[in-house]
Amino acid sequence: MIPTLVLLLFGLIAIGLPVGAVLVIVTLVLDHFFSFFPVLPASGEMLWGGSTSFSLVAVPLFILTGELLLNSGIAAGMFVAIDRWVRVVPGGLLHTIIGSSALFSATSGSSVATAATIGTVAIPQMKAGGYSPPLFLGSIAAGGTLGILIPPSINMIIYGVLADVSIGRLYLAGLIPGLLLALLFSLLILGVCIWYPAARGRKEAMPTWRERFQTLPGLLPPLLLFILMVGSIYLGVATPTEAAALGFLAALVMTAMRGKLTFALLMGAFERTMRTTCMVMLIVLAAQLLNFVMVSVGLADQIRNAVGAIDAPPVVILMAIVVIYLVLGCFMETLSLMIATTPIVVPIIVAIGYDPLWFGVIFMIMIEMALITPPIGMNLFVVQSVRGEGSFRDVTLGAVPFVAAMLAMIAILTAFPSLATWLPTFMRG
Amino acid sequence: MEAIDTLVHRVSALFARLGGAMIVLIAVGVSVDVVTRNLLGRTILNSYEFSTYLFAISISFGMSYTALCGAHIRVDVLVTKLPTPVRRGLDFLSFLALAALAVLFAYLSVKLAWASTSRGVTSSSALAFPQGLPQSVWALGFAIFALTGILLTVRHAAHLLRGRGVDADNLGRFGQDQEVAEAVAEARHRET
Amino acid sequence: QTLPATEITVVGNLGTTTQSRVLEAPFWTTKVTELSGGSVKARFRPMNELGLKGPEMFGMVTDGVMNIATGQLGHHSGHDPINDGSDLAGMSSNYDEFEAASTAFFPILAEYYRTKLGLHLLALQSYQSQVVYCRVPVENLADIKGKRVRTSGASQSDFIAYLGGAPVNMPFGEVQQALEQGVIDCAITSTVGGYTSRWYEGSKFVYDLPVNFGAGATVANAAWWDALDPAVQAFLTKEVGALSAEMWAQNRREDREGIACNGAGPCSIGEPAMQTIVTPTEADLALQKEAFEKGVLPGWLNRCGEVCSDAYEKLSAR
Ligand code: NA
Ligand code: NA
Repeated sequence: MIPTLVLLLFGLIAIGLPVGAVLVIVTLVLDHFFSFFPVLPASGEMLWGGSTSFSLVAVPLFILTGELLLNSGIAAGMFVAIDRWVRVVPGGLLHTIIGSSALFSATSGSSVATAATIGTVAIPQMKAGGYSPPLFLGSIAAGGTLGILIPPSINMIIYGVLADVSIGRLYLAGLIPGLLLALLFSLLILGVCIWYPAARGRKEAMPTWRERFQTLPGLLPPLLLFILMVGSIYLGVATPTEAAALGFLAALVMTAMRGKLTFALLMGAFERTMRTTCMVMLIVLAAQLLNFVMVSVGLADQIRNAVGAIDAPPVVILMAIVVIYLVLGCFMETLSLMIATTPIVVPIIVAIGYDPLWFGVIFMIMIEMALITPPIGMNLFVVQSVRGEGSFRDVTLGAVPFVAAMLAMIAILTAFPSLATWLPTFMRG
Repeated sequence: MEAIDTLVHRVSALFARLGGAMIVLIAVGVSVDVVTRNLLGRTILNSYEFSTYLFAISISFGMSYTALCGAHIRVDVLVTKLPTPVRRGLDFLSFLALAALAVLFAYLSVKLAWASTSRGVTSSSALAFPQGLPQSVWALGFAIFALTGILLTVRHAAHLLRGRGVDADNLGRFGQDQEVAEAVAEARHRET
Repeated sequence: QTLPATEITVVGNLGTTTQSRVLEAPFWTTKVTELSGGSVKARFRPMNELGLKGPEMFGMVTDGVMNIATGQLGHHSGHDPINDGSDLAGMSSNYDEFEAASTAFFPILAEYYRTKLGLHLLALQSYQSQVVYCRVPVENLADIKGKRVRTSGASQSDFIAYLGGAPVNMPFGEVQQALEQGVIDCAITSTVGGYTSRWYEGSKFVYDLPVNFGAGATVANAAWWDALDPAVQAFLTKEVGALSAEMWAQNRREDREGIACNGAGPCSIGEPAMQTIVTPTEADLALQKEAFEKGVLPGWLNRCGEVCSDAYEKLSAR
């Protein structure tokens, strides 16, 4: 049964059928040949149940917020402010990219949105600054991935829903590793710039202190949004989904106050938001049907038992899981990957004695890798499409070193799990 | 034919915008309830329940537009490396599969909405809201998704049969180039 | 004598509870085969593993997705408000009262299921008492006034609203954190469920008066049931009845253990949570009765109409 499933699933995906349709086709085939409970009579209710999940309402709210921040110029203001302060470091603008990605991540739940926003603001300055395209573009693609590790995070919400882990706790668990990973990215850039000065970019005039302080107000809107979207949860004001709604309304007001809130902007944002949300939700809905059949045929149990029978230390199994995700992540779109595998991998992780909260953070980093590994890496695509010229190879090449930083981060978290688990424990009421 | 295309595009874009507007409505409702819960100690809008209905409807409303934009995820790295006729054949299969999926979802949702309406099913909360209402609007979105899927498939087949391969390749690309162009234009604008 | 070979598909209640792990799952996966001398085989899955939320379950039995299902009656009150009839909030103050109500309600519900839904009712079960967990001091029932309380189901909401509290809707997974951070003041769930979901990390007080009992039912598709050999019907009726009796006993026992775990112990499933356990007074019981009669019952009859007023009349007459 497992070979049939794998062959069918990957075969149909490889010939380019829409992933949502593939999941349903596999569902119907498994159902027809192996299943005990017929899935079709139950499907309408399952579609409705999956469509009415309050937690997932945060997905479009985050995307809309990102749209507003980009189009209101708030993202650009933040970028300039950070640039004035970090230009001293060798690699200048490259550190600005990482720093502003990290800060923007604190207001955005999506990696793709983060990469698109920072890319739109930064790429025009690549040529002017004399930077080598690969490292510059790679920094944007990699920096953007922080969007799902630093709270808020769409993927953490989905993981929380699927693995039954508190979303608020996941947010706290991701904060320190997210900042550390940003630091690792910056160290990596620094290293490359020292060993390979051509990547460094032209030396620019140092900004005066006056110039530095003048731009500081640009950091206010993102900080305010972070407090609303993450702080409100820990102040006991709102649940994670409610916090996303508060953040969106605040972004709407800020955009209006800057005089940028036009009908055309709003409509464009609506269309793009619905496009991304529906892309996500079609797969979520289809995956729900597949899950029903996979459980009813006993497939999930089979996979769990197979892994459970392996006689190896937990850390070896964990390493194997990381390698599997690294490989799968090259070829699969991250959301499908997450939704299809969470119900299988989390019970395994718990069975070998790891904390599902801690693993949520590891999972996010593995998803981040998938976002920048070729050939299928959403962040690579986004950066290339914002750039609109040149070879796709540049982006791919520049992103590869950052995969190493992510693997290092996974190793660090495995050695020191408290980096993820300390904050959620500390913040306990 | 052109007239039908335009109509479908307009209707789909309109429904996507309606979907977006519903998200704003959710944000307002949820925020009002957060404020009143913290200040007055009670919620007044039942936003939790209504949000889930609006969310379901906004999703089904956006499906058709997403299909027209070619944004429903497919992995075409391998496909683009194949000889053109084979690739176009697989493109057709892809449209067909999406259409079939859309028809299935439309059928399932209409059936559920009908059953809920005729049996008078309500939510199990204190609101006891009739489920047939939101489910019918939700099913309408999937019905439009199904029509769009069928139209795309038929158009693709027609282009292929008439030997207009390039036209076939351009199907389901609505809004895509436009968006990249916008992003780049905006970037240029900032540069100055 | 040997029974004719029969294969059954069964979907069970929430798989994470001891009721499912210790009784329900072993019963369907092995015990039913042993008891029937190998004639009856069942294929069993808990509903949550299938990704089901609950309210769709009995409809799926009607549609023939599975032959038998055990689900929570409260989940199905939106489809048929009569399901709440034996387990309305504030209706029973203890297990004995609740068991009496269930016994009286069985024939009424069985008839409704048979004629309206095409279902054969096999058994009614208790779950554990649903109690109020609070992060702020609650010394008696009247203290619910002004508190934000996470409820599930219409009758719990009516109960809290009558007491002057604000019923709040929230996904179960968010409750623990919301209690901890103070988004809500109180939340209602079972005694063991609240302990195993670590609600005590936010909550400090457990008010030990059952709001209701999380009643469950086991149903079969009526057409499928009627086509079974009478010997198999008798076998299943007897054994499912015995299983349900075990569930009643286990839940009565675990209910008190759950309270002990939430309080000072002893606790066999972990460390005692050391919350303050608040015992209801006579005045509380009177207020509970008042909230039921003036808040919960009218609300239910209003949602349900004649079907329920008839049912309630029959129920009261017994
Ligand atoms: Na984020
Ligand atoms: Na990848």
